[in-house]
Amino acid sequence: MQKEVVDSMALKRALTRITYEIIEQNKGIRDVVLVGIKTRGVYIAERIAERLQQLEDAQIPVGELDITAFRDDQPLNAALAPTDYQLEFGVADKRVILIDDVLFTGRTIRAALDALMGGGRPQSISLAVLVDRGHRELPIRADFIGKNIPTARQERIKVSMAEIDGHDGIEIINDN
Amino acid sequence: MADRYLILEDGSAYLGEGFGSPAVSTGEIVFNTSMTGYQEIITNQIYHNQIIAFTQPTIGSYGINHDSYESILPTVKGVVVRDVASISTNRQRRWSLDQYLKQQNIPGISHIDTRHLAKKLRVSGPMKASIVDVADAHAFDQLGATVLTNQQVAAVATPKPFPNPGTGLNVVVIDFGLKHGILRELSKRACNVTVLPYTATTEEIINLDPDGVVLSTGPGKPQDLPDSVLEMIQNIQNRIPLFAIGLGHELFAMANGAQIMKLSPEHHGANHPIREVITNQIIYASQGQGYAVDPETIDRNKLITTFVDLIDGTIQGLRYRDFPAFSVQFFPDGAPGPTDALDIFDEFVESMQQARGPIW
Amino acid sequence: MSNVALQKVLIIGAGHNDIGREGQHDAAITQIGSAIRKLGIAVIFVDNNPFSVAAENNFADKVYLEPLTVSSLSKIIAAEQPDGLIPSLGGIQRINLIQGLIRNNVLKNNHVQLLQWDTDMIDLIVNPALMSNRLKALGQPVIASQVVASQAEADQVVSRVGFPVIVKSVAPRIEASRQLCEDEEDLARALEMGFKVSATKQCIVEQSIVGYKEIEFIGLRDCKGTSLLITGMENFDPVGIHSADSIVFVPTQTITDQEYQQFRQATLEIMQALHIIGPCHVQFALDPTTQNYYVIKVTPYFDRAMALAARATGYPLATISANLIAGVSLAEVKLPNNYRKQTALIEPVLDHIVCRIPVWPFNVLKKVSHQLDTVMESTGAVLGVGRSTEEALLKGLRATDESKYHVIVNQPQTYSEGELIQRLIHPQAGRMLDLLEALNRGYQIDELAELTKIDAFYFYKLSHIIEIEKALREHPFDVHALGRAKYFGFTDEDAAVAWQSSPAKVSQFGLENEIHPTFKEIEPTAGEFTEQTNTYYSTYEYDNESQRLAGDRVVVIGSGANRIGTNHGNDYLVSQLLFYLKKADYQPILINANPNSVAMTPQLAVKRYVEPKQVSDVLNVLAIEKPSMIFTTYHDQQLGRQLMNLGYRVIQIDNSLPQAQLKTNDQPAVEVISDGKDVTIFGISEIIAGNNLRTDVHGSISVFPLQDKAENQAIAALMPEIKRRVLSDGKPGVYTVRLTIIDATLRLASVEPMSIAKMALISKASGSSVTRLLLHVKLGESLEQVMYDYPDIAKIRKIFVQANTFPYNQLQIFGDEITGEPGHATGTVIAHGATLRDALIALKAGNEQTDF
Repeated sequence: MQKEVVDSMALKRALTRITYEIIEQNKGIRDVVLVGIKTRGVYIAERIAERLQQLEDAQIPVGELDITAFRDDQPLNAALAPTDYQLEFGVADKRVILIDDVLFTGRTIRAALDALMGGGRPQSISLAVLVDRGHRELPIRADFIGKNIPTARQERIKVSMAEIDGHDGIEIINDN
Repeated sequence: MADRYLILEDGSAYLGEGFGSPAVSTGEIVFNTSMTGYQEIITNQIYHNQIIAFTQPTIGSYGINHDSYESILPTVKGVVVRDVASISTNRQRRWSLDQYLKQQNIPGISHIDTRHLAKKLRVSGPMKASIVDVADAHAFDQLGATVLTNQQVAAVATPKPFPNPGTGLNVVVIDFGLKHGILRELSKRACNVTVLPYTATTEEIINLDPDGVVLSTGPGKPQDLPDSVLEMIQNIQNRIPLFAIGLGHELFAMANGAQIMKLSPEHHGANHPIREVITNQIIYASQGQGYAVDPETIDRNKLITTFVDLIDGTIQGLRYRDFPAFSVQFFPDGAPGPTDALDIFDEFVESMQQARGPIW
Repeated sequence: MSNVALQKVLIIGAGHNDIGREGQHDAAITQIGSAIRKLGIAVIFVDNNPFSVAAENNFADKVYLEPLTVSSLSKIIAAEQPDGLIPSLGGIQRINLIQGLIRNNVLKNNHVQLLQWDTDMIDLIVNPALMSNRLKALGQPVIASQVVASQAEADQVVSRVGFPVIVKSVAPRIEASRQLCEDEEDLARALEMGFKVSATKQCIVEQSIVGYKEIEFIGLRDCKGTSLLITGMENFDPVGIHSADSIVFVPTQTITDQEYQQFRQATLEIMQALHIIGPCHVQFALDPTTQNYYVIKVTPYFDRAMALAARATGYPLATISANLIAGVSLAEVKLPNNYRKQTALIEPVLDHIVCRIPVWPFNVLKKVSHQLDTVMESTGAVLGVGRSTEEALLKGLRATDESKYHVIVNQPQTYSEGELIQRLIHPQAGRMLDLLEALNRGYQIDELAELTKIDAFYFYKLSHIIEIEKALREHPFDVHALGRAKYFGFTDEDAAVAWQSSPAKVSQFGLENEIHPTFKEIEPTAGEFTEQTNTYYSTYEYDNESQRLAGDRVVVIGSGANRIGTNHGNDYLVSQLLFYLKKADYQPILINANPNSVAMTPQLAVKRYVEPKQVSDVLNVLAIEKPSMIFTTYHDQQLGRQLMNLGYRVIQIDNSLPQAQLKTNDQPAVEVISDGKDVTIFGISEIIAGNNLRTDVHGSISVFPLQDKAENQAIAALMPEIKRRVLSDGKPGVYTVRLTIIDATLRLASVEPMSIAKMALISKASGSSVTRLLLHVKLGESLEQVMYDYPDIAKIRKIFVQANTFPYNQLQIFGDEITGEPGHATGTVIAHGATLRDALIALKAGNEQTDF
């Protein structure tokens, strides 16, 4: 069973609000860099960067992180061992905004923090997510949240983005 | 119907036919190019003390509907049209425009070359005008001598708080002559609303523990309001999510150091493209403004321009950089006009929810 | 900026004119073609309509007069290798063709991009059931309907939703096959017809919403997703009467802002969801008692409603659409500097009222049922523009040129009470008089609104018209009565009838008392900005905006409503006249009230008056413009004579049709031009019988040029006689000299003005406009000056053939009224080939179902 809980308009608004909140909390966009977690986190980061550019007329660096190799809940696999630092820019003294689509257990974010470590000591790292669905297993919380969606553990959240899914929206899927 | 005249400050007189109230009346004349929604326009308090000329030639064709009021008592000074429609009043039990204006003691005048009038006003800007029975020297003298009040907000805003109960977020609306559309949209989103007079103090507002504050639309020149209003805004905006509309937007800009300029000609209609800066999207919305924020005076370290009118270049939206306080010049509730901007109310609700934090 | 990949685009024309297919497509193509060329993109145009203006005069880079079939288009696409195909300019028939091109992978194999739409749009248009499901998925209310392939399935649907139901054909091969069925008998008949014209042998049966208000909205969207509303319009007649057969008002007259915004939002949401680029027409049915609505049709291709929206608002819809199609966004569109910057982005607002009134063919085809229903029967339409509903309506009725519409001279009616009620419930063409009659007989407005489902608002307006007229009758030569009557749309002629006087006397009286007409511009901002559309309408107010043009002004009287027969090619003639007058440095000014007319294209006349053609209306324009000449065409001979009597220089172009159908086989005619002193031959034509083409052909076929040596020699021998006969009339012009064979010798039979169809045929065959030549001899130039660059017909290595098309199937005409005479034609098709046989094969291709 699927239920759309956020439509394209609301998704657009959530991104707009997160963008404004990034400006609010960082007192502007100086030193801000965006780091999207693959796959949809990257698209979200790019859309936020576009919005920041519209408002502030400045290019914000957007990096991509593939954290499959860093996850502690995956069996260790030699082929997927943590590789070198992935970003094209360093994060020393930057205000890093880490961006993902859904915040669930927190393990992805922990892995992403590990992946950032090779890039120097950032001024700060904050977290922006489109959806916070609860059920945290680690002491992690988001600074910017598009939508809080209370879920049951067995439910899934499906974020669709036009770039890859053809349309924008968020659905709750219950496989039972 | 009786011959009447519309006379203007520039000495011109237009012969027409009276309808509505036979009263003689004086106000500032503006033209509105909206294609629909005469009832909403006439009852919008932003037109307090003004005479509205409609460019849409037939006005009144569907009468007066119980769900299209934007205020309880209209306070316009006159309605100028090319043609006023007769309608069937017994079948659908509604008033005709003529009957309604009679009840409200508002004169109307039809058979006016409203296109010529609009072309004149687009050059001259608003002028004083009267609807009179005789266009003689005396009438022009009277018109010239009339001094229009600058206490419009005091005349139309509620003197006492009143509730508009709901089961959701707690919202305080500061009334400068509010448009019912604002309450309608907050009601649709289940907000529990308390409307306070524009003289409300910061303390009075804070005591209600609101999730958000709305500064309403209203008539007149923002500089005519007491400085205490600006102080209140300065005290509130960094503590509670704030959403300001129309006159409220102008006051929000002033509270943050911007200056307000007279817009000539005034702009009243619903067909200008408005660009949302952050998404680069173009929307259409109802607009009614005689003033605009002077873009040169915006402190860019404080305020971000969020919406711009692509036709006249006016600022249509602002946002404080450091906290969720934002404003729009246009009327996002429509009524009348496009519904493209309705979701700004959702944005406000989501800002309030965000400020409260997650519910678990 | 624009889509850089686009260097060459293909436009498929609408084919021959027909009911529902007047000049609106060609008008759009002329404008869109030239706007796209301005963006540096080459335009390839294919059509088989000899009256296409777009196919002449450099509106396209290359024109193919070829059959509109998948195979013919495949060849053109293979040869031209266009980058894109514009699918929206040829009407519904071309959508089927594009579906064929897609299915045969022609677009894919040649890397042709389908512009404006997603590929699945084609299926949505062709199959209403798919569209209906798609709309439902978008959350739009649609009428309960089901596809059926048999009577039994249809019966099941009816048992569920009950009568009345509407039956529509799936993938119909003709337009407008919606049938309202009240009972079993209607249903059986509608299904039979529906299955027959369906490409898939299926019909849709749906719940009826007859009696609802019919509202039409036109939106516009660009590739970035910016969209805006062009206008809303309202049908005077309720759902149940085809919207082309209904009187339509722009803007909407009786709906509230809440209803209006609901439709605006629905229109833009549908366009967004379907990714439509360019304009889109959405029709709604509104339940007047509950505000509930249904979406009844989504039309993303150019149609009559878009033409009306463009004419009514003054918004340069075609030019802007061309930019959007080429990938330019609304914010980037650059318009000529007579428009304010960013006009493309301003939602049009009106300070005038436009009324579109249909014109029916019943004066010619007398046996057709006059009952109005869901099948379109009107052949054309006219506009009335004014500053009040009354004025727009009266001017529109006047512009139909039907004297029976004249409110003043047509009262009272003689039919019985019972018949009147029947007419009110079962509306007939020209029902306006019935409504006025009912009001005159004292029917109450609310009662009439209930009976007819027409909003009471309109009955108040009609009562007001009756009131004004009564006051006029009762007060002869009263300034106030005349002033008021004119203010609401009456004319000198009306007052003359009411006062039993003459229009001249009334006019004199009006002028003496300072009752002056004023002209106002039709522009899209209601006076908020300066927008120069150079298109005006008259009213009686304070301010006049139309100033006399500088230069040598020539007024051309337009063709008015499209009708069958006499004037179906007239609009082409008028357009060509305007084009060549402008080329010859005249300032052509058009008077025309036809919304679908190509002549209304802004590139043609320098100024347009959307006005009826009654003498006083025309005189009002002439008083402003003081032209050196006036051109009239066949339909306006009488008007021309009246103007001549008033001292104007009038050039009448007589292109009347021969009364009888010429079926004689193999009898040639000589096509000539004369300057009044000398005669030159264009070439030889021939009329051959329709059965040379197909068995069920009603009309005949024109062939040009005939290259038979022996015949040419025989004709050369007749030349002195031909010359004598043509010159005996003395008038410069183009003529058809018919020959006949008596006792095995060729003899001269008759001389008649050349028909417009023949002018078009010769123009297309020679590649040189006959209208241009005609214009110049009419202007008094000699043949030497005019014909100097005329191509040598003997060198044309092709044969062109042309056949008229008829509305018999559409109007369900049977029996002896089917004569195939030119007077019944609604359109004409042209084709060519190396031999007559090849040409006839080309004519037949794609026209298997055409009513020739």
